[in-house]
Amino acid sequence: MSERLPGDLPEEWAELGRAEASELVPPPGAKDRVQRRLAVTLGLGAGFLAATVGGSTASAAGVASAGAAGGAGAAGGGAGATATGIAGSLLAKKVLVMGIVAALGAGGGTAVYLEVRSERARGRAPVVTPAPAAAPVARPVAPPAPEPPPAETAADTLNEERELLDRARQDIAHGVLREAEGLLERHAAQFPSGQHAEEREALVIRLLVREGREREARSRAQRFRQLHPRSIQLPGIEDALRGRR
Amino acid sequence: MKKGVQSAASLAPGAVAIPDDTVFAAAYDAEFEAVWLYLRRLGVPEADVEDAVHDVFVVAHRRFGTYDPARPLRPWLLGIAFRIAAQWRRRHRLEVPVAEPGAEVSDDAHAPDEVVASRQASRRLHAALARLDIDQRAVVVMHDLNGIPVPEIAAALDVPLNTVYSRLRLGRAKITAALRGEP
Repeated sequence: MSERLPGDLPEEWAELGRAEASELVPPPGAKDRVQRRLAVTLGLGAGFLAATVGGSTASAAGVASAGAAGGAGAAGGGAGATATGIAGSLLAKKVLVMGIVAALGAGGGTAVYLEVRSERARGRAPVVTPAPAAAPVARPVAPPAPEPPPAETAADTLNEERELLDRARQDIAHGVLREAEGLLERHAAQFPSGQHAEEREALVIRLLVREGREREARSRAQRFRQLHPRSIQLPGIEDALRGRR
Repeated sequence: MKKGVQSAASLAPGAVAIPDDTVFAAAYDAEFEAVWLYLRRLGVPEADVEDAVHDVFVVAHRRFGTYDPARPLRPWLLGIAFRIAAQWRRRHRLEVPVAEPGAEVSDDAHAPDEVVASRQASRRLHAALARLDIDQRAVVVMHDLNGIPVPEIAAALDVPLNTVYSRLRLGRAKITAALRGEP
């Protein structure tokens, strides 16, 4: 830092700060509780409550941000690659959602989406045995489609994602690093392109720092910066790399 | 959601607007922990900190138009958090002081070594911070724990640069004395 600094602190200060930040973490569920209260106080809608990125567009955001995890192993499609360039940016969130919609409507995203739908349609179609040419044509009667399992709501998914990451964050803070790693792997497996994929990657970087794997942490941080140059997770990542969190 | 409100990205500095829900949600998601920790470091006890965080984001939402997108968000939010913490202290100044963060009774005997070490460090740090007045504490925490540069602190707290330097110098001297065990 080039600014002039008045006085110096004892060397142990930085270490105390790191240890204190590890100790002093919000209790599980605090973030959700405050968020729900804020929604009531401010009269905010589903865009605030149901999704960090985009409310009812959560599923679209999930598709298009594939690969946003930066290291989670998820490969972004065309739409995803475009969207992830700005994913996580505080001031670009709205643009992100709009971009996702545009990308899905114009490019490869559409094809993927339609393919998924046609696969579903094929799965439900009755198998029709070709009738003999001379036989009267019987209109096949489709058996009733099986009741789809109750769909997991976006809020359920979001809560599940949050719970995993909250627990991982707590474990990192308390030095239970193996547990944290397991939770982050679970999140990556269950929600490779989830709404909190960026946050997961930030936690992975923090975990690597705590494990002393600084080179890996820096490498992933570098990749994160390239993928998300305006991400709101960046200050936290830089803090972790500097040992402030 | 207030539909039709322009996004923050298109705001000129100083413009008045209500943030888009998704923008605000992203800010909340990213900064909740930092605001929570800052309030705790300013002495807001655990029992009250959720209320205080709530108040910070309510103020942030209502004053979002005063946020300059060219500047980092965190110092701006912490500036609001400082004012909320100061209000809290004024409201509670006649009450019996609560334990400082990290001073809660905890069962160290059965905790892993690293956890015990963190708790002890937390107690030492907060005992040192307790010697500072709220103005000094706000600056020292922002600068020496959050790593925020002095000019950003001055902007966030709306005080002159030299005032920040002065508070930093005085605060650091008190912390140094505390850590050395001096009265």
